[in-house]
Amino acid sequence: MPPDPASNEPVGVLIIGAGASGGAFAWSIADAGMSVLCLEQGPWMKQADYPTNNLDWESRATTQFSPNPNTRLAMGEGAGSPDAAYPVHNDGTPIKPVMFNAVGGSTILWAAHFPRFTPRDFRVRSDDGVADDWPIDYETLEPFFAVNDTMMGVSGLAGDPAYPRHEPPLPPLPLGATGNTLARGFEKLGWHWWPSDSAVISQDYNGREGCINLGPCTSGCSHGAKASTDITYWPVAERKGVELRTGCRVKEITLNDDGMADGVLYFDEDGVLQEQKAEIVVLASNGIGTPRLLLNSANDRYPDGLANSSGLVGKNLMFHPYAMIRGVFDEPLDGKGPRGCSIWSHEFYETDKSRGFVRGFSYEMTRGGGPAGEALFGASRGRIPWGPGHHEAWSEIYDHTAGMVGITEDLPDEANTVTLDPELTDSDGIPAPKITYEVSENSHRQLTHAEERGHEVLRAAGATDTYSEHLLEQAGWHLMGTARMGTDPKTSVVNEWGRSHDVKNLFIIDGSIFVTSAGVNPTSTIQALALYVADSIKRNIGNLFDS
Amino acid sequence: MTNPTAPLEDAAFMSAFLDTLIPPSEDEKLPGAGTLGLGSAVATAIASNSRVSANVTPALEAIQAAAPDFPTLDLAARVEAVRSAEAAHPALIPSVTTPLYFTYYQHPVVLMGLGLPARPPFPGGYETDATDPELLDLLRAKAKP
Repeated sequence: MPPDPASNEPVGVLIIGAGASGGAFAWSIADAGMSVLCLEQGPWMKQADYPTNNLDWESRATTQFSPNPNTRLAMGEGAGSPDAAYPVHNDGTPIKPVMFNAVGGSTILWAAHFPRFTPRDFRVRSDDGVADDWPIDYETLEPFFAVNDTMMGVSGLAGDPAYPRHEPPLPPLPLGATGNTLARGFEKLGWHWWPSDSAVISQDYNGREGCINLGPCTSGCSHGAKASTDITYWPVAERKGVELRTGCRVKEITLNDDGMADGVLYFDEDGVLQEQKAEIVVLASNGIGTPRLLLNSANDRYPDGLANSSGLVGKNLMFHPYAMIRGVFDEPLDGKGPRGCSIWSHEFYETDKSRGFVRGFSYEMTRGGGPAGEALFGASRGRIPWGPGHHEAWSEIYDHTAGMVGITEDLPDEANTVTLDPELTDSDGIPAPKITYEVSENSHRQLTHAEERGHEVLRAAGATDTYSEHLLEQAGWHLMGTARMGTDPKTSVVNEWGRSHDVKNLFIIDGSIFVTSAGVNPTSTIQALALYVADSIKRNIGNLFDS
Repeated sequence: MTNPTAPLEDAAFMSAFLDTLIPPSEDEKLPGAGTLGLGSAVATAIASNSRVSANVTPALEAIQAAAPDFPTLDLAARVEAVRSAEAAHPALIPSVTTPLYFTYYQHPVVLMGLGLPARPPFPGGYETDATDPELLDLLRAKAKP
């Protein structure tokens, strides 16, 4: 099929990726008076297609809607992947990257836990002598955190001592029996806890209906109470005039003779290679997709990858290593309701060298799973036998478990990388990413501490038995650091407002630009950064490309 | 030459095997997994994954060889036969439980037997307890002004 020239008219701003950062950025940059186009490789999702519309929601959530793209791809053509997944070579990492490729990106499947980074997270070199400080601070981002909370619809309780005071736009979600039980354990030990900020609306808000406790937030919200950018930012961005083109997988970013980005080559939904010209190119493809695209855009001027004169594109990959701790309680809990939206704790968040590691971790409380999930959990832990006694053991587990994850700060290490696989490609023949990653000794010590203290607090909450898993494998949600920001072009890929040091009209707005990872979920901070970069572009539009 | 899918295609054997892994509950509210008619669905799920099938089929063949009358044995004897196979084929049970538990615990008869609503989560949703007012008072006392 020949290209349709009319559909590829040059645009002012071209965004690659319609997920957490791309949606927020598009909504903001639409006010700049330039034409804005977003290319997204995945489709629009339909809430009616999410697993919780079906009785077999638990098995669908682990197959067609698995967060692991390789699992979705393995389902086979026509039977599985509802998005536009690309394969990831993940043999070289104990933490498997997970993501979703659709309008809304990984916010389709996320738990909507919505902590902000704390002020100290931006200055770990100054405070703790490790890694590097960010070139911006919390105070700079604070107005964008607030706008983002309003756009996404955040529920929470003001006054958390772990943070500068901020006012979530909606009241907190109910803790449920699980949250109440665990909170009492933290109180008993005198440890910090607070209701989580959650991007799940606790009451009707902006045309969306409040949460009705479907349970598994992490397979898509059929009710639309959980924020995902396809139902928050994108409808408004499109009304502002932003064009969103789905089924478009970008192959490479192209340069003109002056070394400026002048557009992209992409495969349309029919697999036809198209050319799209643009004055500004913005990468919003996550901490793996963005370095993959930059490395795939190598040319004579940048033989090691576009915008890679520092050599840092694809390096310093950070996940958040997760420990999981669960307890079994005598009294029934509520296994239903939002999975990731109960309470959090920053008791072990700051550096205390007596613990044997630097930086720290947060705890996030989770509720139990569904009937099948709990049966599998119990079987894997030797708590639910097959054969005689199966039913009795199941009834002791189901609706009687609660737990937490310890989400540890992952310090940057240049040996942890995203590179291009020499053989593996996606369905369009574009080289796939290859991940090489090791969990550091500092992270292992944090994980061990999280396990030990987790057992302690669960027992304090009344658990009669506790379990832990040192490192969760299928938990590489948070993809950060692979095109870090900074003021020195020798040690960073983009400047303090997301502009490439090398290519002055190329911007990066996703988790790639993080300098450090903190010990909390990154999406709130990713989106605040995207809004901040958009604002910086609007404020500097007259001299945007100056040195 | 042995047909590698033969035990999976033997309806009586599969029914007895699944009834061994999940027998009926003592109060009879919950049927055995085989009696519920899950044999075909579980066998299909196993056969569709070559790695799982490679773990399961030799073990099932071993059960058939050791106990040709397996479907007619009582539960205790069937348990003994499966335990013997499990000892020689430790991947058997972990490979079967995922498709079996998903199939069993998503079946409306089982959900009703467990006293759970036999419906998808949406659109009905579920009730969740409110936050304990005493905990809220504690938080308000600690809140940063």
